[in-house]
Amino acid sequence: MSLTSKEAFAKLPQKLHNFFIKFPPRPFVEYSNKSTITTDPKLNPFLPNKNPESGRWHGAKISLRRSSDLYKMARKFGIQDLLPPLPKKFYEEKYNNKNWMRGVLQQKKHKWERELPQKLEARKEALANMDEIIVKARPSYKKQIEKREARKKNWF
Amino acid sequence: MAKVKSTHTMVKLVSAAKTGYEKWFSINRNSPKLNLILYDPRAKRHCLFTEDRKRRIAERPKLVFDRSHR
Repeated sequence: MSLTSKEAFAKLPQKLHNFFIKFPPRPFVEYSNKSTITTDPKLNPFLPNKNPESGRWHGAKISLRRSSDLYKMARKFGIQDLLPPLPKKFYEEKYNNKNWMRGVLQQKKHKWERELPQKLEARKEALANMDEIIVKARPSYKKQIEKREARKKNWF
Repeated sequence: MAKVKSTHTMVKLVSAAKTGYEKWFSINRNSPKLNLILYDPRAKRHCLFTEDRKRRIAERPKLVFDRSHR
């Protein structure tokens, strides 16, 4: 004979049972995917949320360790989707979304290595526009440029 | 007793070619902002050199060319 939902709920492990009393399962209550403010009715107990008055962040109501415990417990019963969304992935989902050899394939390099192409580009540009830069500060430099052009050897 | 400021100040001129080449000069404290055209060996050409840091420059009254004061 199958159980009614009330009977099934009573048979859940104590931790899950108490959790669902405080934070009802998902189809009945909506939970936010992201961090929100502490006065939001859709507050997610697994995520940190911000107090709008003081501007300070509150830690998650249920810590990551405890939320992982709850998820694994719920998964045994197949009711993991009834919990609010967790910031963490488990089992197949976790393995499938792994970033393998991250440091080798997406090399962070040093700050100077990352900035070097922009630096060289700026230098090249400045060198190309040097005549204009000088003329802006020293208009009489135009004469020097003309002299230089006149002195240039051409093949005619 | 307050420290007496010397008549001259050291000023660093940086190349506008962004090669990092710099030149230091000792100039009069009241003189206007210095920019010179000097040779930059890293750019291998003459470039504009401008002052690196801000400093207090004595205010000069603007030149007036109308003859109303006469």
